[in-house]
Amino acid sequence: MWTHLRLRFAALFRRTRFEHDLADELAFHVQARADELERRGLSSAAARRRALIEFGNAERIKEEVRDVRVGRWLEVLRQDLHYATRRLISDSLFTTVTLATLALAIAGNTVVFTLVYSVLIRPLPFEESERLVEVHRRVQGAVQQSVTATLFTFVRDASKSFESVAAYDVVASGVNLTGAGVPEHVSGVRATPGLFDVLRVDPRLGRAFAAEDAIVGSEAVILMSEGLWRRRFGADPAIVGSSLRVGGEAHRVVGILPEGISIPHEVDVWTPLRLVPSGEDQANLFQMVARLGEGVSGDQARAELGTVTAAFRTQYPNLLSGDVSLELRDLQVSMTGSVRTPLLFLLAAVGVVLLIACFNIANLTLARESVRQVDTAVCLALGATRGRVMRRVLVETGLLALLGSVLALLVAGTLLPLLIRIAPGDLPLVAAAAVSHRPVVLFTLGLGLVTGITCGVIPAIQTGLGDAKASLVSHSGRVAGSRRAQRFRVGLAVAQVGLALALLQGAGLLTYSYLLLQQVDPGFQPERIVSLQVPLSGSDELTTAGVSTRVDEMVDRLTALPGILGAAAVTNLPTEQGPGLPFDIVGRPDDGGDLSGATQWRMVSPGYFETMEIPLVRGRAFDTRDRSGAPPVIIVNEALALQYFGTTDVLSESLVIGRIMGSEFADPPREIVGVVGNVRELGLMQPPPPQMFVPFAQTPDRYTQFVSQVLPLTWVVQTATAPLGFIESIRSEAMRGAQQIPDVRLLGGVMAAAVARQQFNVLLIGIFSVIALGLCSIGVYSVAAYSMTERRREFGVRAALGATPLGVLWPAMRQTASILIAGQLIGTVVALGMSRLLGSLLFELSSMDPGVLGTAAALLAIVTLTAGALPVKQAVDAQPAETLRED
Amino acid sequence: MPPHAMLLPGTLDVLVLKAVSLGPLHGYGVLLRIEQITKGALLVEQGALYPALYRLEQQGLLTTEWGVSNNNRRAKFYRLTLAGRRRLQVQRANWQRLADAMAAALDTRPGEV
Repeated sequence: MWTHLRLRFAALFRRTRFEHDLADELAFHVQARADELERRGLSSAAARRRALIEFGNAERIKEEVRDVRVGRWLEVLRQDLHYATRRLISDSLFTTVTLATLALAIAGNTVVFTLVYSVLIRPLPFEESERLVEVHRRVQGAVQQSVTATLFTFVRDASKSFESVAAYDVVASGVNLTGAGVPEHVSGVRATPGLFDVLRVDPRLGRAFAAEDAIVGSEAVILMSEGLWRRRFGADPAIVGSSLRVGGEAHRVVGILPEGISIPHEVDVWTPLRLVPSGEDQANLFQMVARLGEGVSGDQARAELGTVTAAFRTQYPNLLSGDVSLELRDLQVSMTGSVRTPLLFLLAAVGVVLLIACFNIANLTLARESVRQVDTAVCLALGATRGRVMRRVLVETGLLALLGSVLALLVAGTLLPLLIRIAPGDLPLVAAAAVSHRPVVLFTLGLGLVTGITCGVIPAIQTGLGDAKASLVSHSGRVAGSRRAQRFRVGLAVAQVGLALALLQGAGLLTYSYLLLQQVDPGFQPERIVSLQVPLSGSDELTTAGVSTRVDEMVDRLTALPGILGAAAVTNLPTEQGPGLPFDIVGRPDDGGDLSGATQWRMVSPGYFETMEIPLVRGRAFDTRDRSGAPPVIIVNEALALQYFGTTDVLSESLVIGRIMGSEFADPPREIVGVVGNVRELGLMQPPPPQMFVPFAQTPDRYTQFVSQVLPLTWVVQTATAPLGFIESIRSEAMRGAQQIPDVRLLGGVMAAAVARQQFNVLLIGIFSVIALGLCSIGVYSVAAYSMTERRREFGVRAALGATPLGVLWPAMRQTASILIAGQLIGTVVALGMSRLLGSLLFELSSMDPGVLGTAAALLAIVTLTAGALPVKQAVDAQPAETLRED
Repeated sequence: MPPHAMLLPGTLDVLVLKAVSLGPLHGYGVLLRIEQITKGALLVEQGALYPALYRLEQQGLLTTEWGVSNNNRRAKFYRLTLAGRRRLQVQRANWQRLADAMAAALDTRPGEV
């Protein structure tokens, strides 16, 4: 039987075999004729020639045979489709339920695949985008840093591998667009003119930046995005050449750039980045991108980069420490690398849900086919081949699945915008994601086909193995075949349980990891903090005195507001990128301190630590005595103290900041007057870095200047009650008498954004798990229900003979229990396989954590056993007399 | 050689079935057998033979098997299936009826109408 089936399937697909055989057969014919002619007296050669001529055009004969074959195949397919359609229409309940399930399950896959495609697969929207690369510094141990102006200029001039090179810098909190209408906060990028050569982008109107625009002192120019141009200026071409006030300063608009070229997010305005390579400026960092030259490979460029790095070290011995190297990466990989694993994991998870749904449908189809056993038996008796009968089942499920996938495209089209809305804001490239892209459509239809086959293969085999005679003879539906069908059903249920377990465990781990992340102590209290940021404009005074006065004045005004407990200023908020500076320890000339510039450096006003509720471990916080002219002081955090001194008892030690940055950045030695608790400045998942704090009032002018060029002025305000209610009053206070529009946010929101990715993952996986659990329990229920129907008489007899409900329960549940155990074993194996993939997504949690895995298994067991027990209860509840009476 | 008539369309199939019914044959053998049983009166166009054989096989009236010919070469042999045998019976009855009807019609004398 199996051999027959195997041969049948083999025959369907062995086209080359067929061709080979056909050629052999025709050759035999010609040879046989030639032999006969030879027997009749012709020479061997003449006989062969004559036989060939008589035979005629072998190729044409082959064509005709092929046509017969294909024509037959198409005819059969048409019949099968017709038959399948009729059946599906008549059994409308089954069709509707199945179509709905398939449409939803496939739609889920389509949506996730759309994300995967748009972010990971689709090339960047630039010409030859595979030649775009990014260069950055890599500190041994995985920390990645952008490049400095000096490094950029050096690499640009020394490398021959690049056709064009550019640097850019995303202005952290946006810039203000004022004048000509309502002031607006827009996103901006500062970029060297080379950026548009690297990207090979031509402006829609006007021109891009030229080399002259990047010279310090030249006229301030600006490029606008098409989006902003249409949105705010009504696509008026006269805007080019006119002047706009951006960041308080007048800029002349020189061009409009087309849509879609934002790296990595949507950008509204571009200003020229004026790089001043300076050995002293090691804190201004930029993203460096380049386009590989014609014929240059990534590896060649990397090799050259190694040499360039060595040359850089020779020329600037102090600027690149030994454990830092330059790394070159494909731009798209660089942008999307961190979301690759989570996205692929999501795709796998939603695929598992589809698979579980397929098994349910296979189950349903098995049930339908067993009802039609007599039908099939008649077909077989009348001469249909088993292959034909099996094919019919597959055509039916295939048709359903294809229809389902078409519906799925529609459903996915509606779901996708929703998903994008709840996705973390920093997911690159999602803005252009759409279901209508060809690869997505092909994927969906292909998935539909595969789904159809998956759903149909087991029912098809079951039907094909049916014994024609037996089903025609018996009449109570109890045939040998149905035992086999039941075995298939049990097998499907086991697979479902296994898959559901794997998914549940994944979900459990991600959820627990997220909870752990939420519980991480950030080192301060974000709950009742409102942040206020005001970008500085060109006309603002950038001396310490000026800035410090401004800062203090705002603090006073804010504290005077009702319901405000305190306010302070700081260079930047935690989890948002801030300056790092090198320092030396006084008394340890060559060895002490951190020259790499990785230590986080902040300017704060008095009251910062109190406002943020950062604990004071030793000494004191800043207060009013730490003004300009007073002895220079500094506060460090525990991490710095422990890392560089081995103890927190560091009061009265002194640090010198920025000595290697040259005389321009001269800063007197500062005495450590306080040690504060650690703050997770780099994000909740990173350990707290070493950090140093200096008072605003005591910072040398040069430092104030360089910070203010990149960062806005930031204040934090602590409210007495829920901060949401204070946003308006703080904003209006900040706008009084000012020209800038302040950016007012809840610090709690900023912190939430930091875990937005994990939250997104957990949400989606949670939804998938719940669906999978539901589908799985349906599967288990149906298996149990079917076996209950079979055994109702048995239970009727038992109950009539006085068996207790419990006594009936155990034998009935045995099957469910064995499904559960087998499924959990399989699931554990699958989960083990997944564990490495999952490990990188988890925070301080092992992917084999027994508590989580155990909980998932227990939950699954409860649901499965309940689903299996339901039919038993129904059977037991039925009156024994009734079941005994029916036949 | 007696005069041979052209093969009417559709007759090739039934002739093939008949030829094979007398024993399993390869393609060339079918050709020879048909010539034999029609006593040379009907000629089979070689180009039509193999498409017909494959068609009959697809319809389930013939089944095939690779074997060895009587001069030790590998050849594909055709055999009649149950369905094929039944089809042959039906066709034979049809032809007989047709032949009788035609004969009766063409033999009608003026006075019998």
